[in-house]
Amino acid sequence: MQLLDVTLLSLQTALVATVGMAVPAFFVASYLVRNTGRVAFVLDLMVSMPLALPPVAVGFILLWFFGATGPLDPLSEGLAFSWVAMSIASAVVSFPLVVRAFVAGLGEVDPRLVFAARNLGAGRLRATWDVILPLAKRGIAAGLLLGFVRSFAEFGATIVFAGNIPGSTQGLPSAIFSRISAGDFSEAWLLAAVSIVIGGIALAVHNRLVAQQRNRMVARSGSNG
Amino acid sequence: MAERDNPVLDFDLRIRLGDFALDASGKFSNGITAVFGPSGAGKSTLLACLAGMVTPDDGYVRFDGETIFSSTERVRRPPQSFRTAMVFQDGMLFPHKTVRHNIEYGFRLTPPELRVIEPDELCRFLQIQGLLDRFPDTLSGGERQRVALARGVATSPRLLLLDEPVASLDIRLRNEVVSYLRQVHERYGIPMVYVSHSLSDVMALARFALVLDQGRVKSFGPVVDLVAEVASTTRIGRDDIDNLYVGTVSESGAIRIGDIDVVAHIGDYQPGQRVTASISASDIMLALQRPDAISARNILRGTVQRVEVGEFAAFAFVDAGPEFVVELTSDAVETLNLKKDVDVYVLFKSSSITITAG
Repeated sequence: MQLLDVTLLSLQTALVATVGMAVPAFFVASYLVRNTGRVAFVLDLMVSMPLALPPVAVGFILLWFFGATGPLDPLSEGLAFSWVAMSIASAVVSFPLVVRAFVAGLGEVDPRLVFAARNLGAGRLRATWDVILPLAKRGIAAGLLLGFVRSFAEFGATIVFAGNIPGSTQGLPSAIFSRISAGDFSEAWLLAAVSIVIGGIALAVHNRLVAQQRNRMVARSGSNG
Repeated sequence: MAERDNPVLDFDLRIRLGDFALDASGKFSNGITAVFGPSGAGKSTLLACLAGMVTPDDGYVRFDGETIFSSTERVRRPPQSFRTAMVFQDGMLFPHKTVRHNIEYGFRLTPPELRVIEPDELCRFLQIQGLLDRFPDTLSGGERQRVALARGVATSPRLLLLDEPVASLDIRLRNEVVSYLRQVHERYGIPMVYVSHSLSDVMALARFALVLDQGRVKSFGPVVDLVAEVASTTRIGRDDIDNLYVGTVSESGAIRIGDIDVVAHIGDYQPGQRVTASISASDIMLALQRPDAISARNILRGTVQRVEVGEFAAFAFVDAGPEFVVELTSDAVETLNLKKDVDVYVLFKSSSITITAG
C-alpha cells in the first residue's frame, strides 16, 4: 500500500534526522548559551543560515557538498538520491530550529547549579548529565519534537538532494507534489490529511511541553521569592 | 605564627568584569577567615575566583601549597579537582534531587580514600535526618542552608567557601546556621572562608578578616581590629553584634556554656539538649562593683581584654568564661575607666537571650 509506504518513509527520515541532530544541536546550543563572543556570533549565524535560505538552495548546496566535485568525495559516493540524503536534507533545514529551542531550554538552567555540581566533584559531562539534562529535559524534548515536525514536512531541499523516486526517496511531501502534478487531487488530499494528523499531534505535544517548562520555571521562581 | 608559613589558601589575583575590577591577595591559615565588605565590594567575585567558577585575568591561587591557577605557570585546574566545597547564599540545592541525593552527590564523587566524613553521622549532627526524603522546594530557609552545608561537608573538603550563607535568613535562623557552621568547624576541623557583609556573623565566626572595598583589599587582620575599624569609621552597614554561644540546657533550667551557667527563658527545650544562645552586644551592661539589688538575672565576673573606642561606638571585649563583646558609649568607657585587665561584672537580663536549637 503506497500511502503507508510513503508515510513510513517520511517517519523514518524524520526520526533519523532528529536523532542525528540531537547531540550536535545540544553542543552548539550549550556553547551559544554560555558564550557571547565573536565565535558564538559566527557559529549562530552559520547554523541559522538554513532558516534564511530557500530550501531549494540548501538542497543545491548539499548536492554539491556531497557530490562528485564536492569536498567529501569519494567518501560520500552514492549518498545523494538515497533515503539517507532525505534525512541529511531534513536535518540541515531543521537544525536551526532545534538549536533555538535547546538554547531556550538550557537558558532556564541556573549556571550556578551546574557549577555546584562541578564544585562537588563532577566533570563537565557528568554535570551535563546529572544537572543540565534533567532540568532542561522538557526544553530538550520540545526542541527534538520541533525538529521532527520540521523534518517530517521537509520538501524543498529534499527533492533537490534526494530526488523524488517512488519507492525509494518519495516521502509524504514529495508524494503530494507528484499527485498534484498528475492532477490526482483526491490522492493528494488523502496524503495531506495524513500530514495534518501526524504533524498536528507532534506539534500539540511540543506546545504542551513548552507550556509545562514555562509553568515549572514560574513555580520555582515563585517559591524562591 | 607557623601556620602563616604554609597557608591553607594563598592567592593574588586580578579580574575585570565590565566596569568592575578586583585586585586582591591574601594568605589564609587554618580556622575561619572572613571576607568582609559592603555589597559590591567584590567579595562574591573573589570567592568565585577561588572556587574556579570564573577564571582570573592574571595571578595565582594555591590550596595547601598546590597551585590550582597560575597565569604565569599556565596552570588552570578544572574546578572538580579543587576539593573546596562552596555553599551559596540560596543553597543552590539540586531541585530535582531529594535531600538525601543532594547530600550524597558530592560524597559519591569523592574518591573513597579521601572520604573522612560519613554522611549519616553528618546528617545527625546537623539534625537533618528527618528531611532526607524531601525535595529542596519543601524546605524552610534554615533547613535548606543546613542541607547545603551538609552537601559540601560530605565531600570531606580541604576548604569550605561560604558565600553569604545566612544573608537570606531571618535573625533567628541566622544564629542557628552560624552556630552550626562554627560547630562543623570545631568538629571536623575544616578551614573556612566566610564571605559576609554582616559584622555580627563575622564576629561570631571568624578570627581573621580580609576587608574588601571597591575591589581592593582595605585591610587584613584579627576580627577585633575590624570592630575597632567599624566603630571608628562608620555607622552605616553596622548591624547589631551578637555574641553566640553553644551550650546545653542544665537540670536547673539554665544554660551551661563552658564553665558558667546563664539564666534564660528556656521555653520547651529539655535538660541535656544542645542549644545556641545569642545575646546582642548592646544588651549587655558592665559594672565595676557587684550590684546588690538589680533585676538582671545574669551577673558574671570578668576581665576586660581590650577596649575599642570610635567616633560612633565603643566596644569592650570581656573574658568572663566565654568572651563577651559589649557595646557601650565612649562616655561609659571614660566614666568607668575601662581598659585592659580591669575587673568588671557583666550584666544582662535573661530575656535578652535568644535560644535556638542546635
